[in-house]
Amino acid sequence: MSAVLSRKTFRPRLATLMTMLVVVFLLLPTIIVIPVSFGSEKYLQFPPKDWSLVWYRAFFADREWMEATRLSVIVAGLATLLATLLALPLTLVFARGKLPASGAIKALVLAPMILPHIVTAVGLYITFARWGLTGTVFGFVVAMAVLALPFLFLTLSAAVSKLDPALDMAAASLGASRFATFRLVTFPLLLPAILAGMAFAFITALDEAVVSNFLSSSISKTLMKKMFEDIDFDVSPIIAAVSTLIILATFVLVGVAQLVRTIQTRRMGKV
Amino acid sequence: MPASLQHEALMLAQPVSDDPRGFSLRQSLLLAAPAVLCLLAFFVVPLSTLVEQSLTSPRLGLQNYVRALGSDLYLLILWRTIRLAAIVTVLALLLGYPVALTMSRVSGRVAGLLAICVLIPLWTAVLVRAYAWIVILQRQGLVNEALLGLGVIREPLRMLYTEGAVILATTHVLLPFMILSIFSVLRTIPPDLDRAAANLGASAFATFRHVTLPLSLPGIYSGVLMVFILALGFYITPALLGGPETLLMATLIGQQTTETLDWGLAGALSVTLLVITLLLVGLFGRVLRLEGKG
Amino acid sequence: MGGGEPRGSARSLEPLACALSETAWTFLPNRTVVMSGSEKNGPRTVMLRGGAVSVEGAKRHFGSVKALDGVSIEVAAGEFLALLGPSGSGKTTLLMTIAGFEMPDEGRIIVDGRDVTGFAPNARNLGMVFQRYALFPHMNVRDNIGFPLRMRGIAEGERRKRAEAALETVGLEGYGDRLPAQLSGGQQQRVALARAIVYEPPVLLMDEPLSALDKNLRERMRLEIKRLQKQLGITVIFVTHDQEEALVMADRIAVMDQGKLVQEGGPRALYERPANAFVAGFLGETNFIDGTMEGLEGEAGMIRLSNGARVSGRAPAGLTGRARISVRPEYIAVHTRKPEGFSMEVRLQEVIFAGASTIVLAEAGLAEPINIRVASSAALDGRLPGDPLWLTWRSDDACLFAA
Repeated sequence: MSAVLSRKTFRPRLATLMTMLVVVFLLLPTIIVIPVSFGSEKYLQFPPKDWSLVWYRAFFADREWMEATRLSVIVAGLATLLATLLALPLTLVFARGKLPASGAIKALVLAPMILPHIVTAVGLYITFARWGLTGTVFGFVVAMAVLALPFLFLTLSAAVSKLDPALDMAAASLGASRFATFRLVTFPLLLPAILAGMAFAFITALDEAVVSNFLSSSISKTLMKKMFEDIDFDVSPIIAAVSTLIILATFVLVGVAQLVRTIQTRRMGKV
Repeated sequence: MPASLQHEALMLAQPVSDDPRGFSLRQSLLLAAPAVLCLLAFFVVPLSTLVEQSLTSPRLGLQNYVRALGSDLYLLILWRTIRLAAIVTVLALLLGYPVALTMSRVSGRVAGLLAICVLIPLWTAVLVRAYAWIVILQRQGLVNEALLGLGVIREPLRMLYTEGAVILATTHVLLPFMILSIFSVLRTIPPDLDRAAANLGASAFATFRHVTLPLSLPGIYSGVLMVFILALGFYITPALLGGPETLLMATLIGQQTTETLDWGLAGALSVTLLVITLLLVGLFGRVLRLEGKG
Repeated sequence: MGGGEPRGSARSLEPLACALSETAWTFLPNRTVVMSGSEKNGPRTVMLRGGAVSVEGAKRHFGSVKALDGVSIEVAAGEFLALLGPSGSGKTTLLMTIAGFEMPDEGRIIVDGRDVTGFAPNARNLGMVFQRYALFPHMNVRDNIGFPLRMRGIAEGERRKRAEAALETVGLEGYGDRLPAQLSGGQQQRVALARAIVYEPPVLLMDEPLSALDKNLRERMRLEIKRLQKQLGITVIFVTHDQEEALVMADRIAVMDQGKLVQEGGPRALYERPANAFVAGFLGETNFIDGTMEGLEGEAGMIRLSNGARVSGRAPAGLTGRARISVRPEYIAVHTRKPEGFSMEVRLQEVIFAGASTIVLAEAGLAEPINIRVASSAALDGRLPGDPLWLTWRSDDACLFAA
């Protein structure tokens, strides 16, 4: 029986073993940070000798960390909103409309994802320095929105391509205007994908380090800029606490996004 | 029938659309405009500024490019960057392929679990991971403690701020991209092909070599391209985990921009990196397209 | 469910038997039928009034492909018209043009006496059933059916009432709260039908609505849709590539090929008197044999086949030279002894039992064996492959076309 199975699906022992090792490698950094954050020693220790919430208290008491967190959450939220508002109509046009030079436009939309972030970051830095936008919420938001746009575009395009065009036609044949069709058919069907895309865009914007590193000013820093500086100058376990909180927030968001999708699939089958 | 009457009134008010199946040209342009304008203002203009700086700062001419490509130091850094990106790409491919293969061959539940394991690092901020590697690799870190405890070494090893650390951490960040890229192709190969090959007398290894591997090439190509390009422009991980002898292009560009304030040189180096990236995309794009046709 | 009335036992739905039993509808007068609600199904069911449709010289090209090459057709109020053709024949384009999803380059579409050529689809007030039903997956059955009423500004309470009535019409009382994903294919089909008629459109357009169903259900739904159409008196334009479906359901069939209307007429007329070889081959099974014309006598023509046999069939006036005869398998009689008059001598090749009928393959020295369908093969018992047989057919049952 086992001989039959191994013939049917080639899965060499070596590949299985490698997979297990790689999985440990992949998970190690994420997992290691969490216990470190609950230590009490000033220098890093693993595993910590005694457990405490010292570094969480220190994080929440530190004005600079709190400012950076506040700024990052605001920027990520607004950037996500902006990118969604830009990406959604664009996606619909690519799926249902006609655009001249659509190939070039698609390349433009995807470029921020493909080109090195450092180049984008430096370009934005020089330009925003001229326009006086460095360290401003507006500057951060548009920069993050530009970076999030390709991800949202791809996520939404995948969702739109799964929509049956006959649904639009059915709505029209039943008397719905194009706007009514969008409001009552297209949008509700896309909503779970939109929410999932927004969750991922939010995380991406929150975690983005390169552009936010360059656009931050000494008085207005994002969370990632603050972390970057602190890791570079003085590796304090407060960073482990911050990291743990970021991991937690990310997984809550990803989990919710996944849940929304699962519920939709369960309810309506494959749309 | 009041409904019909109402509908008749509605009909008269309906505009005639030139393409009833989708958006008209005008509607399309209108809907695409915000995104395109935003990208022009906050992406194309910044990149153009960079090019402009490289050609005009401090005065008009190619002197920045002469400096960037004429200096042994900068060429060494460029070479180091390309070499590192290549090493990371090969490592990611060697580590990633077995995972992708296993993911495509196990039952849905195990595959889902594996997928989560691959996605968890992807959704952990790059900075958080860089920090984690510091915890693991530093003098009193996890690895040194373990090796000292086991008596393998007497003195703690210096692992942080070396090229090895940069390669390890960069591979870790980019590995999920490789795995997902290969997996997305492997999952589309019908399992019947394996059975057919086996039925026709191929050994498990022959099946892999003659059926699975060739069919998964598009996934390998796109994974290699993605990882290589991302590795070329990596900034955060080398900046935090590398030392002076592992200075890479991105870090160099960053230094010229914010520390030396030599925007002309930063521009020229950026354009160089950009051109290499675009050449690679173009080249691989052609290979992928040919693969797709064949 | 309205399947309680088994017309034409589902087991032996031989295409022809069914076609013949259904052609009875052809002789019903094509007039506007107004159902008064109290006649059937209690207080208020869906009330419909069929509207006439006419397409005048519709042309539509996609690049160099002529999807519609000057199509004109009239559909009477209350008529069931099947648009039949192979894929790419333009039948779907024609339906989409009537629905307003395609704009003709030339020509006009007139529905119920009104020129709707320039109208957007949502302004045409036509009912439409799609291939895969296109039910809105996020709305329950009631909201799906209520959707067109909502678009027409009808209040919630009234919508519920009418949706319930429409559900009753299609035999799905009490299914209002289900989501489409919780219904079987046949039930989804019924909901799509209810949604398309609830707002009482004068015309119902159907785009291969049965193609996604399995064979048994498909055959049941044919009769059911047919029954509903007669009961409601609605005009139906039905696109299909399935000739059997067209024969069973339609009052009239329009056969399309390469963007042109090739022939239109009642199912029986088309089956028995195809205008050309394409229609003969597409509608039902047939044997095509090439030969040379040897003479015409009124309607009947003589043709000499490549194997030397002289046979006859109905021929268009003035047919000479190379020609092709079409004889349907069930119109051929098999004789074990040479009969009087014209006959073609062949050799028995194979006898294949096919359930309700038996297929006899006969070797006639032609490119392909001749295919014959007999009700019973009892007369051939004991005959071996290679034994001689004689084939005859009524000259009126075969058709001659220019080759």
